[in-house]
Amino acid sequence: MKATSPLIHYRLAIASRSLAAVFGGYALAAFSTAALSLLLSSLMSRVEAVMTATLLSWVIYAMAIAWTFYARTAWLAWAGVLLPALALSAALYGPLWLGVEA
Amino acid sequence: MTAPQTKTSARTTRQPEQEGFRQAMSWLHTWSGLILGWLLFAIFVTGTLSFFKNEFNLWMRPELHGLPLPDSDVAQRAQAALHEHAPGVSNFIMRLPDERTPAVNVLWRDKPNSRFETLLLHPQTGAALQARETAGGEFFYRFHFELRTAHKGRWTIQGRWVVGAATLMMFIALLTGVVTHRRIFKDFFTFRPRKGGQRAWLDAHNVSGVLVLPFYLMITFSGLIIFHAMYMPAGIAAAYPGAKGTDSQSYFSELQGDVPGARSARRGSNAQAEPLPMLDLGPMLSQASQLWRGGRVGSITVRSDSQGPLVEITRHDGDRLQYGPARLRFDGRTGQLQTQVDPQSPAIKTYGVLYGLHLGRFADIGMRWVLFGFGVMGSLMIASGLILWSVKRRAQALRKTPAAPLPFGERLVASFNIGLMGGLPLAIAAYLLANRLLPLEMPGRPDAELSCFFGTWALALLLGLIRPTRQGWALVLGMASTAYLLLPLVNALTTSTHLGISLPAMDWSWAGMDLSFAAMGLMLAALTRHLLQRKSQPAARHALPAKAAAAPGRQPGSQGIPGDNTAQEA
Amino acid sequence: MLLDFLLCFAAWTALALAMDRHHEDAWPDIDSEAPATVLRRQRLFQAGWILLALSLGIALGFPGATTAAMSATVWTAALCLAALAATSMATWQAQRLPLFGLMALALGILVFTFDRLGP
Repeated sequence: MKATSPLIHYRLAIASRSLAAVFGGYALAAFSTAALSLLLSSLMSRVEAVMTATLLSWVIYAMAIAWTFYARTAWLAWAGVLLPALALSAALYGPLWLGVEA
Repeated sequence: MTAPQTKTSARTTRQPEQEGFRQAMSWLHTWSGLILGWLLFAIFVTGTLSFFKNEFNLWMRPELHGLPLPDSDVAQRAQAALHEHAPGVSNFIMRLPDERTPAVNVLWRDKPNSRFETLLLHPQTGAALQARETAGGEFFYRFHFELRTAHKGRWTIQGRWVVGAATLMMFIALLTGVVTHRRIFKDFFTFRPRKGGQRAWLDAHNVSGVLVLPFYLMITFSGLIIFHAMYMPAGIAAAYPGAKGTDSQSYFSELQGDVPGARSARRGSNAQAEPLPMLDLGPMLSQASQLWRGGRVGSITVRSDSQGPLVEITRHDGDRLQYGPARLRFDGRTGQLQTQVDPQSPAIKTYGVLYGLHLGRFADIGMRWVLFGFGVMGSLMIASGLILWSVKRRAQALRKTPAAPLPFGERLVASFNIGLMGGLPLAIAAYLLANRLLPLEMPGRPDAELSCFFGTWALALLLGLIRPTRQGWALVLGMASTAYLLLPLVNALTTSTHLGISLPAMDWSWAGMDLSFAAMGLMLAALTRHLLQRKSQPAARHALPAKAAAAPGRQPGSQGIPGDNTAQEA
Repeated sequence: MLLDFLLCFAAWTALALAMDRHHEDAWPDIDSEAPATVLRRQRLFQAGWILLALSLGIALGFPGATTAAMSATVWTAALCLAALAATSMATWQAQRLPLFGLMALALGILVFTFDRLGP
């Protein structure tokens, strides 16, 4: 990688973390909500499950955002939100892709 | 300014985990607050005003002054008047009068999906009332959650998205603010206005933030929840798959306690466009009163579907905390009670209570003023945060290069502070004055009033750009003070709802408004005088060495304490 | 709301006076290092928390004509209002803070006896 000036490096890192926070965090919160809704549907009515999951989603989003600015590097910031998000989406849609009814 | 470390230096020097987290959150707090700070201020202020939107709606329609209390058969009489006024009506929502809204308010339409028209009716005679065309208090309400800028605004969905983003930022700012505030317990009651400069502003920000924190957390979180279907639809999408994407209609029906496909007075494809017959509402209303053990009726919704006319009586939303009041569904022709709708399952109840807390409909007049006061504190918290940023930056800049002029970014922030925040009370006063001064019969009157609002706000911004200094503040706030003090006078000159009439009659719905405007004017006048008495900051440029040698804390507006928020010591 | 406010105000006053800064503002002549003073501040701290808990308990246990949920909401609002009032006093009338705290407590007891405990 070419040597970049410290200021541009800093600003890119901030921009990267911000994107990770806003979009990565949202992805994590959204997939968590979906997964939690389905999980809870077996314990309570659908509307109750969805509402409970959605109420919790904001806490998850907030924690994700906190993580992206606490992580030591911008890469770790992304990893911390994307990896769980991917894992959840795999759990949610994996069965579908594999041709099994969810 | 500290920032999350992506290079070597500070992070590798063993900082305790806590300290690193706190510093990172401090950075996040500053920027999440700053980026949308002015928008958040506007949202908070208009939301605060919305607690009194009924009162604004009334005050801005002086033609509704002097209405008597409703008769017991107000609904039936109003229905008759409606049918006379609009014989083809096929759907209407009739809000009955209460202690804050003396007239009957009917929303009606004759075609299934057209816009509703509004009709105001006398609470005893049912006669149609003619009031001046105005958005009234609804403007503050609609601007607050969808940034509506015109009577028939077209960008309201986009507005809701922007408000959602701002709400999320506010949520993050609140949480990071708590994490960052290292001395949250020790400094709980600490407010030192006489210290001046950064210390005083930081104290103001901390105190206004911490002491009313439960309210801010509630209002912000509930704000996110109210539009949850728009902001976080993933759960609905996952649990309600439909033939063409998501079956959100089922979700909403269940959320409201309806069974999907059952008769509904609200939505449904089987709406008929045929005119409604006159219905006998009396027996249905008394049944409702009986079932609710004296609870108030809020509104009556009437519609036809394939089985005939359908009447839904909704309880007054001020009767309990949980919003989404109980509803009774009657068959329109037979008057027979068909369904009682009032979902009480835990998550729905939580949603309802959060929604209800946010709207504040449950509040009586005392509680309403308290909520308004908390809203004002929140607005001051946001304002003090933005001003603190400016003051701190200026202090840092002056320490480095005492003779330098204000950098562009900081000048811009200072201008926005004056124009967007100082200018908002001025714009509100202009809106209210316009309501009294604009010709009654002019076309497009509501939008004309709004133009006065936005035009004045823009003017304030211009003044802020020209004078991003204490002078600019004094000018804008001084103008606002004059405008508020003029309001009761203009009211007296243009209507018969002024203090000379409302005070002797102890008509607080009207007198309270005029008195509040006068009080606001006086407060702003005092503030303006205070600003003009103290010498402005730029003089500190060349006096800096002298000030540094002077007794600390003695000079008002003396330089603040170096370091970031987390390192503040007494 | 009045009872909640009075009790919370008394509680916040006690908690404020338990802190060095406000304790010295209220009693400027006192020796803040003396064990008696330190003990007094501890007692104030405990009293403050107990009063807060008590006021919440009263709000939930004696909701009067409303539901417990509404009573809890009103209590929370009173909590914030009282905190604002206590801070204002601590800032501008620090020397009167102990007196007003005591008065609030006394009034609160009166209001509770004649209002909440009544029919």
